[in-house]
Amino acid sequence: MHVSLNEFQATAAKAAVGAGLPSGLAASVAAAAGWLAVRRLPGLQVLLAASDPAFTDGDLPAPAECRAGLWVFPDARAVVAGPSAVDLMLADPTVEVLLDRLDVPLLIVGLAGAALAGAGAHLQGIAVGFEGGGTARVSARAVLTDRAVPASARTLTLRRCTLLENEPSTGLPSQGVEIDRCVWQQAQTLAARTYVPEDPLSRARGAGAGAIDNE
Amino acid sequence: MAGVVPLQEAGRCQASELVLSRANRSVRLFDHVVEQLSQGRQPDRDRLAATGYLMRTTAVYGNGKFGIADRHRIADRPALALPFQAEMFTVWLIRGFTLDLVEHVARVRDPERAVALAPALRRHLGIGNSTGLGMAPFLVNHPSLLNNWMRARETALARVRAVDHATPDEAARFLALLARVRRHVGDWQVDDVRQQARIEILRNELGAVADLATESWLALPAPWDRLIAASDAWSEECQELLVSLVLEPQGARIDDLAATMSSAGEASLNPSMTVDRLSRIADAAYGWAGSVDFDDPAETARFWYVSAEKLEPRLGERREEPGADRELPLDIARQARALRAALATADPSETVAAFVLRHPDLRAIVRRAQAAIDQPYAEIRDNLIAADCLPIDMLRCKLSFFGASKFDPKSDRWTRIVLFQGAPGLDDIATRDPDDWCFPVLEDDMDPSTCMSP
Repeated sequence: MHVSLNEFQATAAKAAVGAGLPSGLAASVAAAAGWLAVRRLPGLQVLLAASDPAFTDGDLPAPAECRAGLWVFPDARAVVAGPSAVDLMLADPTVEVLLDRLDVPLLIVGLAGAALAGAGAHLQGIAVGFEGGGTARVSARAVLTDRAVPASARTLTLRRCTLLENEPSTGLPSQGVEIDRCVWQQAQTLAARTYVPEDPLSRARGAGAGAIDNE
Repeated sequence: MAGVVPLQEAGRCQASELVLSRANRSVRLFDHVVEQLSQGRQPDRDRLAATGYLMRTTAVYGNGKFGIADRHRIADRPALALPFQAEMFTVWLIRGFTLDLVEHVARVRDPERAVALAPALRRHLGIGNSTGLGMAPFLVNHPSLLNNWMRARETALARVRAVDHATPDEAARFLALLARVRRHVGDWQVDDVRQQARIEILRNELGAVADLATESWLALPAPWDRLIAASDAWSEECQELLVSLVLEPQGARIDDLAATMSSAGEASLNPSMTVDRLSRIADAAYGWAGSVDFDDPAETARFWYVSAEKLEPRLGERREEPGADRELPLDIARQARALRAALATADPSETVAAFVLRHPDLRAIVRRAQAAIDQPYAEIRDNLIAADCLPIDMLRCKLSFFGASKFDPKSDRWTRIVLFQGAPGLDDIATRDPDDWCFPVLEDDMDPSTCMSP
């Protein structure tokens, strides 16, 4: 099915909140999912995968420590550790980050791309190294990989890299994205956890409107 | 579209469609107008003036809702580049449709006797709108856009107040407009007791404005600055109306500001900023929130939520209704206080990246605070979860930027208004002045000879 980018972003953010994330983190992972989706990568699928199981207060903040310029996130969940991992990269170009036993690697690619795009950093990139070999070079516009991004349970390293001005860009859709109907339904189900059932009293009190509007 | 649009929220539209709207008839006036026209008569002037529209839009959706085009798809078209241009154009078209529809129904009812609406009545019929709580979260969730709207207004006012002398034409235009607005306000009647009391005060104060702002008084230096300064003595209704009055004749000085009213989107987190810098920004941007006593239950009496059935924002009573665990994060004042408290104990030299790593729950308010550096009008400086918060004030603020008039509150959280009343329509947009229709008045001496057969 076809959904607009605005629908995609709104639903992704609500799904992330429905999974228990604070609104700020939810906005970041929704932007990451959108960045992936418009590049025909499964952004919403990875957000859903990374949001299962739902989060509790005990999951926050992500445990992390810095050792001589290397930030290490043990047992990293992408939606919690990922935004901060990318923040640290952008705050200090000399820093490196290690995400240990990461659950959903592709979401880190989306987080890096969306953050670079948001910062207007069009000549800078983040190199994502995968355990066992393989690198993805992420810019504001595209991701270039030398092999498929591993699906799960890997250790990732992040470091800053410089891009060439003629770095190839993925052809982006100008309008909306195609989404598997079942995936969309899953996202909406998760988003629905943020809704509150209403009754006639709450409708009358909460909205303040009458039952009809054509008198 | 014929199959999908009637499904409303359950339908899926296409990316080639820009706006989705729905409207309800104002049954009593619509039926009256049909009845009168079909009998060869014009509708009752007072009934028409009291309502001001034949149909009311109850939703105007844009920017990708239900699968329609995202805004970025049309944002580079000059005619649609400003915010809500496509939506407002649609509303204007619906207004024209309602006028054609009422004449069509009258003709079908009695083809021999039916007449068209008199042009003066046709012009005076705008399009109604019912607006609920959804607009309040919109303002909170688009701080950059709100800032740009307010900045344009404040800049326009500053330019006009800086004018040394009004030309005779400018003074005459203002005085003519003042006379018109007094009649317009004279026609403004609402059921809401509080608003009607404000209108009564406004009517009296406009008399005082007319007594003060004579032709000779306006000929003295800095007339608009003096008038705005004098308005401090009058009600907020009068103050805001005077701002509109002094701006309206000054198109040549201020119309360029319209181009500054759009927003490229909300700013991203700046992770390299230091905590020290963020603290100073937060103190400057959210000092107002420090005076809110969140230990007082009244300051957290309410919570915003999205209803499962309508998927619309609602406002609940925190201690009386379920759902506060799914509260929308519109409690900006409370978040700001939490941010300033956390910053007070943080290492001033650390980066925002390290700070939000330890405080992921503050990530959203950190981003807002950073954006406040050059956005002084981005925040509604009020506690939106307090027992005494009036959402209707936020709705009116946003609606005013759409040119809404005849504000008619139905509670503290929804209102009716009129748009495009007095504006040129489908039939005369090419021949009438498109910039001189604000504060319309329905003339008492409407010439019956203007009534034409369709």
